Amino acid sequence: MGRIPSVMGKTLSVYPSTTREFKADVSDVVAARRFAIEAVGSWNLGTDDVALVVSELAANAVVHARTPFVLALSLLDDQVVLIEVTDHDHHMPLPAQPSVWATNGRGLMIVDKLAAAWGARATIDGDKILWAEVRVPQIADDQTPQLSRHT
Amino acid sequence: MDETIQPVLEASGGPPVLVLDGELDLARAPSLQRAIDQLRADGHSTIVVDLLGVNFLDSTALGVLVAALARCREAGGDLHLIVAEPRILKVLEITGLAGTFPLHPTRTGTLFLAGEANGQ
Repeated sequence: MGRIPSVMGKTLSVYPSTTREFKADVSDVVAARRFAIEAVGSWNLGTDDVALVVSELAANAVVHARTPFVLALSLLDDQVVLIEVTDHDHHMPLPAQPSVWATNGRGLMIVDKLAAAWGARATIDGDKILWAEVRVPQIADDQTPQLSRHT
Repeated sequence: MDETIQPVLEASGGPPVLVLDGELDLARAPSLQRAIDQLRADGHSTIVVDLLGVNFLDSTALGVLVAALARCREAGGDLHLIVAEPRILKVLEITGLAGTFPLHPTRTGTLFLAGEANGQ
C-alpha cells in the first residue's frame, strides 16, 4: 500500500478499492456492513466508523430510496476511506437535524459526525450517490510473517 | 426477523432487564421494538436495557430506544441503559443522547431501581 513514483514525476496511486452490488433488503444492509468491515480490515485499517457510516448510507438506500444499491470503497490515502453508495432514486436526502425525541433522522447526523466530508449528488442516469470520506486509524498487521527469519 | 428478545425478570422485584448482544441495527430493531412493547403492555414503566454485549448500534435501533424512553417517561418511569463499550458510548455522544438516557456502567448500578419499580 502506498504510492510509487511514476516516470512523469507525479505520484501514481496504488491504493485499493472494491465494489459490490446489494439488493433493496434490510439483510443486505447487514451484508454491506460485513463486506466493508472485511475490505477495510484487509487494508489494515480500523473498521468501526466505516461500519457505521456504511450502515447508515446503505439503510438510506434500502429504507428511503427502496432500490438496490452499489457500495464502493476506495482508499484515498493512507488513512482516508471514500464510501460511495449509489441507489436508483434521484431524490436527495433531507438534511438531518433531528430533535432529541425524534425516533428517526439520525442516520445522516451520524454520518456528518463521523465523516471528514460527505455529500450527495445526482448522476446523469437518474441515480444518486451518497458519499462520505472517513478518516480511520491504521492497525498494525501482526499477521505479517517475518520473512527474513525464515531463511 | 424471527428473533425474540426475552426480558430477564429480576427476583429482587426490580425492573425487567432486556439483555442484548451483538449488532443492534435496523435488522434487529423490530425485535427490540416488540420486546419493549410487550413489557409496556405488561405494565412496566421502567425498563433496563443491558447493552454490555452489544458491539454495534445504528440510528434505527437508537430510534427505537429513544421512542421507548419517551413512552416510559410519559408513564412515570424511565429507560436505563447499561453501557460500557466505547463504540456504543460514542454513538450516544455524537447523537447528543448521552445525557438523555440514564446510563450505568454495570448492571449492579441499577439495583437501586428495585424499589422504584415496585412503587408505581
